[in-house]
Amino acid sequence: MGSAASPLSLAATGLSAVGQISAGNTAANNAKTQGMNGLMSGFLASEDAQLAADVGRLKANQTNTFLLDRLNSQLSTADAIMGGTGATSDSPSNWAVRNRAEKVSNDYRTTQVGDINMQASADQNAAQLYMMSGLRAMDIANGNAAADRTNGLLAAGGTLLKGISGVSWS
Amino acid sequence: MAIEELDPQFDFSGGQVNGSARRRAELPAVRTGGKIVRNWRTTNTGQLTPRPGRRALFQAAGRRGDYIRVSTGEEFIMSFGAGSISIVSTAGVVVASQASPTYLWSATTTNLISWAQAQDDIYICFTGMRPQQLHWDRNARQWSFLQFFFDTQQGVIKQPYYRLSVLGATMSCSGVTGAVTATCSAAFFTSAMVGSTLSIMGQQVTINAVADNQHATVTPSYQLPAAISIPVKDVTPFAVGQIVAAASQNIKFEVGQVTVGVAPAGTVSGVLMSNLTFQTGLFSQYSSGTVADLLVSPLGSSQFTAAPAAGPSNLPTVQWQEELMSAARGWPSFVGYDRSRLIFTGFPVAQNAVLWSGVGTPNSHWVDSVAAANQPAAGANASSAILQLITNNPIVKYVIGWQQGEFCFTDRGVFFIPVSNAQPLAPGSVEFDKISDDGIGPIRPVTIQDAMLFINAGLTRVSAVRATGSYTRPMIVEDVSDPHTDLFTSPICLAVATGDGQHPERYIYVVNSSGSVVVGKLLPDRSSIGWAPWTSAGNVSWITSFGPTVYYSSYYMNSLGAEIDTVEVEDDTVYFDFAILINSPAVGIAPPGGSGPFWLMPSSTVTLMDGAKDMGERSVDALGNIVAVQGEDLSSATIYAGIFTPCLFNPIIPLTRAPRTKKASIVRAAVNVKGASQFTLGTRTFPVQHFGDDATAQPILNDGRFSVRTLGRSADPTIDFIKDRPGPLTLCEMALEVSS
Repeated sequence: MGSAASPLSLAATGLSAVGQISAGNTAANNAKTQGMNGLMSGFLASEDAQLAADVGRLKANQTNTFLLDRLNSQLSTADAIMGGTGATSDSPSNWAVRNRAEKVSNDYRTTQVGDINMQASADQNAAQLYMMSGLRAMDIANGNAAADRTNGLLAAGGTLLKGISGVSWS
Repeated sequence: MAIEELDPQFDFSGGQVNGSARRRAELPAVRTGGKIVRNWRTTNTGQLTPRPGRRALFQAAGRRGDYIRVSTGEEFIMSFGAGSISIVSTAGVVVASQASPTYLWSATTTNLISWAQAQDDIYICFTGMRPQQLHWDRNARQWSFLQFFFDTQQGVIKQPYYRLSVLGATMSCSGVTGAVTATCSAAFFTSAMVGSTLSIMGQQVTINAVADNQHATVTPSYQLPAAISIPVKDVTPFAVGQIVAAASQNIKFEVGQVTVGVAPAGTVSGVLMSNLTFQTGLFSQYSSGTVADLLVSPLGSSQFTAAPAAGPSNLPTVQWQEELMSAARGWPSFVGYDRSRLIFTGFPVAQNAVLWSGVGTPNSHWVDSVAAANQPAAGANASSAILQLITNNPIVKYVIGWQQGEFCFTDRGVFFIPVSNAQPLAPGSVEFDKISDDGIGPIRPVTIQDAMLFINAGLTRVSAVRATGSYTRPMIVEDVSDPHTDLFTSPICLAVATGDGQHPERYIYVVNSSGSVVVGKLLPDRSSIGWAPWTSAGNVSWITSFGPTVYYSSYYMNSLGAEIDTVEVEDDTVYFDFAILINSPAVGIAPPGGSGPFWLMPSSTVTLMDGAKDMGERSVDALGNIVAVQGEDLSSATIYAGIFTPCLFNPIIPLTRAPRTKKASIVRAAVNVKGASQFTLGTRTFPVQHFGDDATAQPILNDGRFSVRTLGRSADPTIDFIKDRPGPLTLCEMALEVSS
């Protein structure tokens, strides 16, 4: 015949269960906080990438405008120089050089602008990835928190049952 | 009566001065020149000595012979006759000849032939004639005669294109390959164009058939550019003829068609300039992400509303050009060579144009301003061919390279084209700096030391281009014949000889159309040239030189009334023209069997010399044999004969201190001579052989002062100093006493 559990022992079991519930809640809160941090981090990275993409597009437009302006300026300067060489304005060689310079400059411009636009597109894609990454982190954290809470409750329940099972009713 | 002893004259470098300047005693040319200075050459120290004789080399086929030397060292005279070319070795052996109806020059217009040598090829131009080319095969050691041709590469003819006709008219094509119908918006095509080429958007097409003046069937050598159509939000900024481009993609085309859909949206179409072919999928509606690309015109821009598509055929373009030089458009009349580029000028359709070949490729003249955008070899590379036209339409006559640039001589001035390592002769950097308003005559300029000489358009003056050393005005033009202008009578040729041969002096030769020659020598201060005439029984039609060696193309009238064309070489050791070693004539004039050395001059009289010994005149029989004096031995190998021309010096007597209102007389005249054979001063002859001397011995030459008294008074007293017999002499001084 076993000895009967004292009232003090039951109280201790109850307290232990409460502690396990509290620990589960704490872990859940921590997981949620971590998820929120991940979300915020992804959101910020996404914002940065989006900003870089916007800046890239702006830069592409500015580069395009700048290179076009520079080409026009260079062609204008070339026209002025060639106009002072004593050759007629329709001299074929002057036009050959001018047309070639324009072509080379346009090739350079479209290459430069294309490169910048590609980078902007990459940044745009990265922004979306970062946002999705944050959301995913939040989802995982929420899941972890629920699990932690459940674990706490189950552990507390187990502790209570174990304590009660030690009570002698005879 | 006052006796005045004039300042003695010991400098004769001034040459023969215009007669009307005889009282301009203060002029240096008058003080150092003479009223008549005929057939003398001036030495470096200012004395007079008889001009060189001319040794006969060969009988020529024409009246112009030019010296050439090829890479293998052979030397030739290129002799131009009426419609013919003969290449003759300097020994007088004809190595090649060609007569052709395509050679358009006549016997009297050979002086207008222009030629240039590029390595082992000779390029020849003449007004109205397709350029000709002579090629020396250095392995076979032989010449071939060709028509000038342009290099071709992968179907591309390396020739210059320039828009000459119906400016503003468009050309449209029914396709891009194969037989294509080209339609011009204005009357342009003629049947004479069949076989010639056009450049349409930088692509060459050959005209196969002409249907009417607006339609022709052409075949592209490769492929014509494709067309493109771009739907845009607003077609308002676009018009036919504009060059438009995409803002972000490599699309550029000439607008050939603008169609309006739902206004203001529509489609802009045209022939591509940025690409030859249109490929579906190559271009997008967007420049980045979902941002639509822009089509930009000079008037504005509009967004793409869809991806570009292939455009329709028959879209017009104004970007087409014609051959600059062809049977239809005419050929250049001048050719030159400098900086490894062949130079053509004198185009009938662009007289102000200068065309340079590519560097080291004298048959490649590919200039196509449209093609150059995508193919830089078509006139945009530094080594590409160059085609420039000078403003204000001067007629370009010659382009000559010299020192730090090229000189473009026109009928309205001389232009300097600076060339240096920092500013090479390259497309886009050719600069025409006008340095003089002087027009040039049809005579190729020549260079001598630090000057380039040319004859003015009026054929009355020789001018010199000189470098100044100044940065702001690097070149100037000076006249160097002002006291001698009456010597130049329709000159046709200019040549120079360097002083590296028998004598150290450099001389400049001008051939007058009359057959006389005017020879000049730079004065010590190089500011002017003393000019004097050289005359001969043989008229000179051309002079060519190489270094110190001077070749004369000359012609003599023989007793049969025939004109004998010859090439002679200048020789200080002979005192005759048409000089022949009678016992060993040159190969080129060797007599046929049974004839004598002067078979070309039968029944004439010639003068004989042996060394400095004047042997006097002899008759030539009908077969050209020299008729010896009875018992005379003419077998010496050194006896030569020819035609002697006396030398005459008649001084200018300025009468500086004598009253100009009275007549004057020369009381006494004296000359100081050195190494002189017989001469005459006034009425007195000073021989070197006297009665009783050994006539077979070499003479003892006179050296010292010889004087004579004269009679008579005149407002313009004068006295002749004549070298009336062949042989050496140097006139060192002439002194005169004059009474008034």
